[in-house]
Amino acid sequence: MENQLRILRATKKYSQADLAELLGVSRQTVNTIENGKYDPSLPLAFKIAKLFELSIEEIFKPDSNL
Amino acid sequence: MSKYTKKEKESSAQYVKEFLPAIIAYMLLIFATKFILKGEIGDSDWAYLIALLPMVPTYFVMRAIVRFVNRSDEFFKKIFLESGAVTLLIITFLGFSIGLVQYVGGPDIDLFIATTMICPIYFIVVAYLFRKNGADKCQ
Repeated sequence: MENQLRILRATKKYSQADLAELLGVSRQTVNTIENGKYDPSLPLAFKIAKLFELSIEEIFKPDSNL
Repeated sequence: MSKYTKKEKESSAQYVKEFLPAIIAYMLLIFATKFILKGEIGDSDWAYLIALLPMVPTYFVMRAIVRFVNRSDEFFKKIFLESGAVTLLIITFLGFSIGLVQYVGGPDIDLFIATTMICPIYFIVVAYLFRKNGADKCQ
């Protein structure tokens, strides 16, 4: 799954640690989501969407082969 | 900038607070029971009960680990769960291998040593999965 998290974080000038604090997760979790190594759970995806005032679909896109 | 969030630091502090006294008690009881069982009491009915005494702090060690995992976030839980599954597979593989070798007269490896191997194997697998997921390269 592709996502816009790194770009969105940069626009808000958050560090990975800042974003992790706001989401209540670890910095490693933010890092692995940004790198596409880990897909967040639905509750966490909703939390991210709420934080950036966007819909989940605007942040997370399915892989092109799906 | 700190590498860990406030929640992680609190969780780690809580873990140390719960884990450390339990593991120290376990180590002390291992030596104490060994010493006690060498005496006359080692031949009595109490021997089984005394031999099992180190299992009391072991319960608290396991409790501390389970509580730490429960406090972890979803990515960490996934890594811990995957590591547990991979460790189980490795231990099963090694167990069967040792069993087959023993069947043809190979060395008799103590079950106590075999189960002790679970911890180092688990930590190696956790470290490997963290590296594999790129979680060790935070920006």
